[in-house]
Amino acid sequence: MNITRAGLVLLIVGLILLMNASSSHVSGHLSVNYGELDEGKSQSYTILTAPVGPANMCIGLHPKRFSDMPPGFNKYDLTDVPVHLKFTDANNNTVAEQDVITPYCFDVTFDARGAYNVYITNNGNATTTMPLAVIFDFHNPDNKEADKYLLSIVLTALGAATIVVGFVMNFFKTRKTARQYSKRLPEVKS
Amino acid sequence: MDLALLKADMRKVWGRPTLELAVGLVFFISITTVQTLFEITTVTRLESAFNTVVTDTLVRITSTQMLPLVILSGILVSLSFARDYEQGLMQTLLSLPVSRTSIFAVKFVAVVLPLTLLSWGITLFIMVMNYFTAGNGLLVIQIAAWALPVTFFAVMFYAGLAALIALALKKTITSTLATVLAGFFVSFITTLTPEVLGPIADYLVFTPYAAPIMTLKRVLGVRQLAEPGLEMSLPPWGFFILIIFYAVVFLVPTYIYFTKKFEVKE
Repeated sequence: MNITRAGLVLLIVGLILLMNASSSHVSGHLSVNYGELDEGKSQSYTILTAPVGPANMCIGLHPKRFSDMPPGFNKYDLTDVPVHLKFTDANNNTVAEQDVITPYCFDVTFDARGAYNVYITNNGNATTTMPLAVIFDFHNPDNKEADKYLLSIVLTALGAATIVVGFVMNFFKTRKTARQYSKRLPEVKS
Repeated sequence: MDLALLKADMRKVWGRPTLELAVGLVFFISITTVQTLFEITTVTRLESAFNTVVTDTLVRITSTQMLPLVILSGILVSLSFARDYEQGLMQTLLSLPVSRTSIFAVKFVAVVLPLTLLSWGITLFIMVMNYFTAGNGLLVIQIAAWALPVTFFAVMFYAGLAALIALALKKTITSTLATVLAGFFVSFITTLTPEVLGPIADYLVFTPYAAPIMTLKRVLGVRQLAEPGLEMSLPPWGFFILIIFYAVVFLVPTYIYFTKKFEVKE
């Protein structure tokens, strides 16, 4: 395979990836709830995510859709429950750690691919459920996958550069061949 | 196998713009089936949730690639076999001091091997791009590796079918269309429901189109959305034997047909 074809293949892959990665594929409200949280007990959630940028995270917010709700979801009143919250990023660095009252929402930025952890401790005096919700804007371009987008740009640029290099090399090769053929043949002395 | 002949055949079959179109088609179809990684789970369930996401994605990519592979193997095998008959190149090839087995192997390998590697390479690239993080990179590669033999045997089945059709018809366009139609038919029957087919629909998981995907599901232990059916009666290695059987079911008669020397047509 010559260099121009390799460049063309890279360019095709890069452009298709760019088309896919340049728009947001996360949108709307995602809410989960795992079991009940007794007083003084802790619960931990893991958000396994791509670097999809800014979002709004809420704890103690009732699920939005009825299909998200577990049986008996409305058994507990989630308002004004004091909790201790700890949020760590994909590198396990603590981003936020504070005592808050539910429902509590805060802005987060998912800027690396990996697992983000949310630890919640129930500081109230009753058992409750503690759902975690992540809310994204509706098709916000900032919510595109950053690493995939960067890779697509690199592949597209690399593909385009390789094609140009291939064309230049072909041009000089063709010229050299043409010059070789255009040389006058030595005269044969009889 | 004659390496110079293989190189020449690969250059002919995968010449411009076949490779570019194949890469574009398979990559486009694969990337559009993959969802952005976003899962909320508990810390204790992280590993199993990650495994589920990765295996589900692998199965989804592989099953989406099946139809393009049917089309591509049909076109490429026709380019490899039927076009040579049409252009009179086959007669020249058969007059060379190379055995018919070698010519057949070269023509088959020139299609099957690059197509499998192309398809699996794209799968691996997408899987690594989506799920590769420092902690679980090897796991992603290990899971994605299962798609390689499954894709290989699936491509071998379609290439064997295409080779048989190409040798029987000996016309590029006709054999391409016939192979693609046969591939569509094999794919179409797997979409039929028990309401249409009756109890026989339970056996559709054993058809050549569904068996490779079911092999992958059974090997990786992918959770079934529907009620488990007859596929649970066959162990994962049983499915592997089934897809190996499908891989050779058209290959053997095609090979015999080719080597018995009654295929040359003026």
